[in-house]
Amino acid sequence: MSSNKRIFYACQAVAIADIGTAVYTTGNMVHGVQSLSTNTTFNPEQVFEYGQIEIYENIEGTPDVEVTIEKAIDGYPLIYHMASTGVAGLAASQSGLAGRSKQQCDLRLGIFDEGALNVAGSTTNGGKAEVEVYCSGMYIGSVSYTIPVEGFCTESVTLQGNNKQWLTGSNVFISDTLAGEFDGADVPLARGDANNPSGGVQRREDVMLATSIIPASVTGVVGTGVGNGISDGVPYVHIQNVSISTDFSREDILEIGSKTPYYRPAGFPIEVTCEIEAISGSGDFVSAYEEGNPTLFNTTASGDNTAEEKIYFVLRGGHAFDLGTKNRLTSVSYGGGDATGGNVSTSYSYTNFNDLDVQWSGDYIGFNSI
Amino acid sequence: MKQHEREYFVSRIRSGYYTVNVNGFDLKVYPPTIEDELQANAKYIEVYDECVDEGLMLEEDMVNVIIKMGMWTADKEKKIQGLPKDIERLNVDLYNNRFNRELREKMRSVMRAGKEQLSKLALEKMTFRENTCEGQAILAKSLDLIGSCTYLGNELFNFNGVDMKTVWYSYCNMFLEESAIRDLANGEPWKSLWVLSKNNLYKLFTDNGRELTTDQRNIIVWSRTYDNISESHECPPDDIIKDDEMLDGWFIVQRQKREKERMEAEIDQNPKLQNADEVFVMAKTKDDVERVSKLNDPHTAQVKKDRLRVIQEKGSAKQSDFLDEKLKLRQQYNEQFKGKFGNG
Repeated sequence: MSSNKRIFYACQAVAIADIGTAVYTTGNMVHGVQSLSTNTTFNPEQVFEYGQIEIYENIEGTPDVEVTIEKAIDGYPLIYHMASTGVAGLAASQSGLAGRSKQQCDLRLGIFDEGALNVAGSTTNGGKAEVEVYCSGMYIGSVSYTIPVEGFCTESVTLQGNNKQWLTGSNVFISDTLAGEFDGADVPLARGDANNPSGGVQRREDVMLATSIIPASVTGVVGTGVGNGISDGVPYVHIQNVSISTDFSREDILEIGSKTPYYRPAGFPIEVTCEIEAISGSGDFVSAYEEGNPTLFNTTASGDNTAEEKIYFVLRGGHAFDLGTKNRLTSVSYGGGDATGGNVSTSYSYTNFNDLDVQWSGDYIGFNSI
Repeated sequence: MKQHEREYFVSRIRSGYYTVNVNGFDLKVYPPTIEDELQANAKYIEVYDECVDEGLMLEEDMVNVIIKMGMWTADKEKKIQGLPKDIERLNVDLYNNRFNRELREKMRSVMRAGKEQLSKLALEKMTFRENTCEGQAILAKSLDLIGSCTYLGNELFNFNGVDMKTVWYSYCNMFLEESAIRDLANGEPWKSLWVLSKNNLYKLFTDNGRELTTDQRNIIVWSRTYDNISESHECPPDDIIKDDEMLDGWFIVQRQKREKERMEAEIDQNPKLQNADEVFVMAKTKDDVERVSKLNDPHTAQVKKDRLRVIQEKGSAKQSDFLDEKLKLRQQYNEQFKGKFGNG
C-alpha cells in the first residue's frame, strides 16, 4: 500500500486537445478512462553566501507536471493519438513514433457537481465542471499497451509538462454539452452493430491472430508472415500476455531569457519493448551459442544467436500495433511449473529502436504501412 | 434490565416457545418445522401470484401511488431515506467524541430523536404495505405459520371463533427488541451458558425438532458478534462494548476502514498510482463519487476543501497557490538546508 498522502478526486471527464485549442468539441473527450494520477515537483534550489549561515535565496525551479492516464481500449481514439493530433495532415511517413514525439497537447480534467448522477446531468456552475484541472503544453512521456489473458486491454500514457492550473467559474472549458455523451448511456465505440460486431472493450478473444505477426522465435510459431500464429482457427501458440511499451526519455532544453524549457525533445534512439508470455508445451527452444547460432551463418545475422523479427498485433476493435521488422530477442525466461501444479510459461522480451506505429482502422492499417 | 428479568427472558428464549393468552387460554406458539416453513412459503407465492393477477400494486410501486393519493408525501419519503444515513453519521460522531462527555451526550439525544422519528415514519409507511401484493402475501404466510405452530397443551389449537391475526400480533409483540437481546447476550446468566455450550458441554435450547425462534437466532448472532469483538486486534474498551450506540459507531468506523483499505488496494494494483500526489478516479454515479471521497483521510479531505476554497477565491489557481503545496515546498527547502550542512 502507498505510504504517501494521496488526495483522491472523483473525476468525471477528461479532455485532450492539440496545444492551444480554444474551442473544444465532443471529439476531445476521452472515453473509457479507468484512472488518472498527477505528480507535481517544484524543483527547489538554495543559494548561500559567504558571511552568513542563513539562506541567501530560495529559488523555485520550473515545476515538473506528470499525468498518467489509463484507459480501456474500446474503439474510441487512443490517448496516444489524441495527445499527438498535430500530426494530422502530415504524410504517413511523418506520423510514426518520431513524428508523434514532437507533438504537444492540452489536458483538462473535469470534476463535476457531486450530486449529479452523470456528467450530462450536472447543473452547478451553469452545467460546467465545478473545478477543472488544466495542464497545457504536455508532451507524451511514455506509452504502454497491455493485452492480458484475463481482464481487458489497456493503454497507459504518461504526459509531461510544466504548467498545471486549477480553474473554476467561467474559466472552465468542459461543460455538460461537451461531455453530453456521458449521459449514462455511453457505450464502447467498438461494440459495432449486429452485422459488424467489433468486440466492445477489447479482451483476449479480440486479438486477430490471423492478421497478426508473432515473432518467429516464439516456440510453435510457423513462418514469419501474417497469420503465423494460427491455422484454421486453432492457435499454434498459447499466448498469455502481451505488453508493448516505450519511454521517450525527454530532457529539458533551456534558453537564456526564459524560465521554462523551450523544448523537451525525446531522447533518441527511443527503445520500444515488447514482452510476450506464452504457456510452454515443451521448452523455449532458444539456443545461445558462443560462436553464434549456426542456422544464421548464411544470413545477415551471421555470428548472432538472434535474428531481426517482425511483430504486429491487430485488435478486432480497429487498433493495431506495428513494431516493424527489426525486433531483437533480448531475453527469454522459462519458469513456473512449481510443485503446486502451476503451468510452465516462457517470457520473451524483444526490443527495437524508434519503431512503434499504433494504427487505427480510420487511418491506415496493415503491417509496415508507414 | 434487572437480574430477575434477565433470568426470565433467558429461560423463555431457551424454552423455544412463546405463551400467548387468548380468551383465558395459554396458547404455546412454537417456531415452525422445516416442513411448516415450506408450506408457509408456498402459501406466500400462491397469494402473491393471485394478488398480481388481480392487479394489486407491488411494493416497489407503492410509494408513488400513496404520494399521488395524498396519503404520503415526498418530503416524508426523503426523510425516511435520509434518516438512516444521518443516524449512521451521528453514530460515528458519537464514537469519535467518546472522550468529550458533554458533546457525546448531546449527539446521543439528537440521534435518539432521529431514531424515534424514523421509527414513527417507518410504522406509518408500513400500514400501507398491507395493500400491496407483498403485504398480502406476508400476512397469509404469517397466518399459515400461526395455524400450524399454535398449541393448546399438546394439541394443535383449533382457531374456530378465534381471530388468528390477534394471536399473530400478540406473538410478534413478544419478540425482544435488539437492545434487550444485546443486554442479555452481554450479561449473566446467558454469558456463562454460551461459554459452556461452545464445547458441547451444555445444551442451550430445548430441542423441539423445530427451527430456532427469532429471539434464539438474535441472541446467537449477538453472542458471536461479541466474541468476534473481543477477539479483534482492535478490540474497544469495555465501556464502549456495553454502550450499544457507541459500539454501533465502532462497527461503522471499522467497516469504513475496511472498505477504504479494500478500495486503496484495488487502486494500488496499478503501480503508477501508488506514488502519485493526486489520484483522479473515474466516478460515474453519485455512489461512486461518495466511495472515492471516502478514500481521503481527514487530513487529505481537509486539503481538498482548502484547495477548493483557494480555487473559488482566485477563479484560476496554480499548484503553488495551495497551502499544502507551500508547506511541502517549505519542507523541501528545510531538507535541502539540513543536507547542505551535513545534518540531512
